[in-house]
Amino acid sequence: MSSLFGTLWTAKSALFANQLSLQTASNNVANAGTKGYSRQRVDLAESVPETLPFCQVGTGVTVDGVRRIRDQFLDQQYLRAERSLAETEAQHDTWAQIEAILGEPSDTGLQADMDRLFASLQDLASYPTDLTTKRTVLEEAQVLTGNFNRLDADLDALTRNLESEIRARVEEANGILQELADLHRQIQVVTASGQSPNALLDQRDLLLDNLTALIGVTRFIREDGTVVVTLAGGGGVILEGVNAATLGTQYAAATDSYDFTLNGIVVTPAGGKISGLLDSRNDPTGYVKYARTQLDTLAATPAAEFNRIQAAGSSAAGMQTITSQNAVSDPALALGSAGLPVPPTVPGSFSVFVYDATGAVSASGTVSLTAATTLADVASQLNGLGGLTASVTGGQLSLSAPAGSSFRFGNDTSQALAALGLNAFFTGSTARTLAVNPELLARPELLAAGYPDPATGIVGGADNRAALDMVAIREAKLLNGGTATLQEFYAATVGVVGARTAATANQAESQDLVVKTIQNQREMISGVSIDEEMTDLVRFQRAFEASSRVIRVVDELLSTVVNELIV
Amino acid sequence: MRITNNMIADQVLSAIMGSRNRLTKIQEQLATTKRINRPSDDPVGSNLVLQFSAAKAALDAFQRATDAGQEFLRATATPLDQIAEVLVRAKEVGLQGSSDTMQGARGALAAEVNQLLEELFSQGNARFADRYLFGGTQTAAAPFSATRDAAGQITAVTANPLGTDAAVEAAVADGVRVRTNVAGSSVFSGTVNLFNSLIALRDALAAEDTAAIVSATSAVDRGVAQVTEVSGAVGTIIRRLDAIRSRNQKDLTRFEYLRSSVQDADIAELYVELQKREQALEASLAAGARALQPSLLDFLA
Repeated sequence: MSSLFGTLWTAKSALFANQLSLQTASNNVANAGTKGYSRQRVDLAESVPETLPFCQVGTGVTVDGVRRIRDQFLDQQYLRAERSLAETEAQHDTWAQIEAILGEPSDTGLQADMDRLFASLQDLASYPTDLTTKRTVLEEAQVLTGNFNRLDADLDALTRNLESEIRARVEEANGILQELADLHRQIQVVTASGQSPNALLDQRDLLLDNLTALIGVTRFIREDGTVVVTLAGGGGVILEGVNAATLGTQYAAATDSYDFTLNGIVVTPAGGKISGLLDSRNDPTGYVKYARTQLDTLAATPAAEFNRIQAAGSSAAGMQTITSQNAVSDPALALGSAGLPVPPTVPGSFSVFVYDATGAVSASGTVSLTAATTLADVASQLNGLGGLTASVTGGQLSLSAPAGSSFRFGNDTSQALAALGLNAFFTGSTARTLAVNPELLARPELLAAGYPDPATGIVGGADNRAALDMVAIREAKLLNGGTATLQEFYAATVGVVGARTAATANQAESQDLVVKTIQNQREMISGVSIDEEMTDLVRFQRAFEASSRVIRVVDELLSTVVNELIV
Repeated sequence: MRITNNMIADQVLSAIMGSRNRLTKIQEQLATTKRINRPSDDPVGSNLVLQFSAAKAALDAFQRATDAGQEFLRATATPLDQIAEVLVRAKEVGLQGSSDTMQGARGALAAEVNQLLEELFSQGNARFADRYLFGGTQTAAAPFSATRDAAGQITAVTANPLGTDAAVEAAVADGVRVRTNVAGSSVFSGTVNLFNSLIALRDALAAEDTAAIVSATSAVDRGVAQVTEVSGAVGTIIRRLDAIRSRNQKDLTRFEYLRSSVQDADIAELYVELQKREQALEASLAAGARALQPSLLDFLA
């Protein structure tokens, strides 16, 4: 039986519903700019109607709940797009840093240094006796080795930076996982009471967005509002309910790789910034390792050529004392297995000529090498020859002539001089260790311009054959299996770095477009439109006012009933 | 389609950022006047730039080596001319002395030939910037030494036992090496030993031996041809180096042109582009200002 009080209750439910809608709209406006916020709607439904004998009559409105407007399929798409973008961006950053370290094209890069070294050698060929020219050659060589050392140190520092960033990002991911686990605890409590924890769900989704940018995840939503988070590419579960896995890193010295671990087990993440950083750090044929390998090759190959020519050559000045620059691991081991960068060619031999104060040959001899020859054997063959003193200290051979006399080498068929670094141009065989032989720096006149006479070891002052041979290194196809000159090899390296930098930048740009599109679609569904909220405000305001009016009307009716009917 | 306030703001922001990025790129190119400032700007182009720069540096070095080689060859040409003059004069003296009318008066001629011999000897040890010209690679020691009798007259000239013929070459172009010195023996002891022929002429004149004078004179005459031939060869090499230098110079200009065309920016084009991008930025700023402004709030009483 319908009654005036029933109508009053109907109006009251409308007041309540409209007031709740107004509050929700106001909350939407308040959070219009909040990151991760999804707009909310009050779900309204008709109340159960009252059944009268001849009809049913409505009894007002009930509030089913406050719901957030969100498309979970777009969320899933976002996770996928964002993890690819974050990975590519990390890769691009590394390539761009390598590109900046190489710093080409420039007047101070490796290319320019090599050009200047060869130009100074060309001058040495023109003026082979000029000491100033020899000093210039050595100075240019030092600039070049200094640049090699700096490049390698910078690339090494880049590797260390990548490692510390990986550690920091993994910690960040652990932090997010912990936060998610905490959120899950709260979400479970709220959903258990039958309500929708909208704010908590927004936070959960925002954290997942941040997490996928770090490590690349997929997620599965469960009934209770919690999610199961798995590493993309089947890497394993990292969060289930309130249990978060521990992410970590570890270094594998054997493969020189910095690995990502899940509960202590090495896994390969697919996507996310950390994955990009790991690639940058570990890829044996790309990024930092590529650049370092290329530079090492570029340093070692010509250095060996220079050393061969310098050791075979000689200068007008004789040597008084010399020390081998390449130490052996054990003087009693055969030279072939004593840890030299390049073993000597055996069997072979080299000659030693000793000169008196007037420059005439006072003694000469031949040192023969077989597969079994040790450094100690070489020393004993040299010791006493024309008064020479040979000794081995710390794996290095020292040779000195008696006062007033000097010596030279020649006819080296064994390449032993270059192998031992006796009268070498460069020491070291990597970009990091390459340096100009300190003995040469101390006595620049020993820089070889010519080759010694096979019979006497004497070098003509104007003999510039060795200098010309060093100049010819510039044109020689020494690298890539005899197909590339130094210049071509280096230009190709710079080209690869440039191409990879440009390619990853383009890739990131197009992936960014995908992410932006998904973001836009998400915003289209979940974002707050002020205009819309204003319209709603007006709508609910009017409805509220109308319901108030209904109450007043019912009040008047009740007054009529009470005052007019009951006298 | 719902358009929300965040969408409008994001759209405006990314349009402005995009315009600014493109503008910065142009401004960098204008500031450096280079189109390629890092390899990723144009990987293939930067590879070419490195190649052209290296080629230019090498050509510069070749040019310097060519100059140095030519200098040494020119320095060699001067004593060769003087040696030829000495020999021509000696030949004249020899011809004069071979005449019977000079019988008994050849002492003065012998003295003159002796002077010419001294001159030849000193030219044999001619130097250029502390380098002996005819010593092969042994440029620090005199290539020729004389044995003199009690009267101080040269009786024999011996060459440096370490040799006077070793070649000194200069690398003057890719894979091209040119010899920049002459072998001492080709001048002084080729088919004719110049020193010995002058010594023989002098001694024959002093001894009034007409037959010996005639044979010595003819040897000197052949000596003239020998020196002239070397002299001509030196001239040929100098001209060849001239040709190589001008070819290198052309290559140098060509490589600089190529490098510039790959690396340098077209300033006029850049300014037009700058103008366009500035307008684009202004347009996106203006559009942003208008898109962000209107709201239903402005119209609700």
